[in-house]
Amino acid sequence: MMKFLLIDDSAFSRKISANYIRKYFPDASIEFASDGEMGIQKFDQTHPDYVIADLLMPKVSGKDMISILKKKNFHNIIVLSADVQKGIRQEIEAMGITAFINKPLSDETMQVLYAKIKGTRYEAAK
Amino acid sequence: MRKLKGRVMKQQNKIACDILNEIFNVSIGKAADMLSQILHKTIRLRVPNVILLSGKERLSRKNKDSSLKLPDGTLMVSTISFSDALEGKANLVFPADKMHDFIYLCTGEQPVSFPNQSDFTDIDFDIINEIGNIVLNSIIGEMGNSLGITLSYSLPEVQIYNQSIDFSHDIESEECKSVLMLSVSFTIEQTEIKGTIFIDLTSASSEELFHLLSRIEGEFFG
Repeated sequence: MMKFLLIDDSAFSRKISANYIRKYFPDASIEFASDGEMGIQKFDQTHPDYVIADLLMPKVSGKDMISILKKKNFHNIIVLSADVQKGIRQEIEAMGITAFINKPLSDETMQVLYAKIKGTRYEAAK
Repeated sequence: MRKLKGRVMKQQNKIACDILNEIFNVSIGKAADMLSQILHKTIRLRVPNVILLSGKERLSRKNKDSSLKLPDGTLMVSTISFSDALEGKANLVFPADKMHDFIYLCTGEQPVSFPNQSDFTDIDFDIINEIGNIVLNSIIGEMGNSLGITLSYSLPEVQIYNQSIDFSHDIESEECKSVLMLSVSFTIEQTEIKGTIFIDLTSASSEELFHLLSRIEGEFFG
């Protein structure tokens, strides 16, 4: 069973994202954290397959959290951010993440994400 | 000579507003698309009207120009600060009474009934905070992309101002600042939500913005 850790300071955003993850990965389990610090704690406790994280968060920012996770040799990180700046996307992608997606999650972006995670082309019939 | 300088300044301001208008048209369109994805509803948007004013101009024109007036009553203001290439604060301002309808559209759940229209739950604040974050990131971020700059953001926050006058006082507290005003209107099904976006800039950032806009102007018009 695939395990996701969803880290976002907005409960509303966590709810939207979790609904999409459940739709595309019905057997997956989802853990939640509301800031970068809690995200790292949950990561150590639950050892997820994928981390989906916001960038702009209290206590430990998404960028700092990615650095910490990379030091732990974890690379399956998906950034889900409202930040549309090209410079920020390039900077974060250069850290070696799986994907950078702009909020909100949608069927269109989930299909891309599904294909990345499964390593296959998304089948429209799903 | 002073008259000529004033005319040149006015012309520069007009071109700057024209370029900004185009940039914000694109970014508001993207913000509407993002909202549409959240709400699963079609959103019609009205083209924003961009006004660029110095702090002094804002003070002198606010009682004469109806487009500079804030809605009456309680306001819900979502704010994000930005720094680095430009420094300032972006505020998304909506009448609080409309936000209950908007939150209902977001959640599909009947909102908690309060005797006062300006009362909100923590969940309501979280929703407005996140929506404000997405909309303001789209507007400021696309402006940054168009100008070829990168900005850093603070955590977004939402505040309630019990009277529009309180918010006016708050944003006018530093006279030297310039402001970009965008009148925006989102229509979601039968609900029309009219709002205003205030982008406050420091004096130095205002000059830098003009510099960046004139560079774009030069690229397009030679």
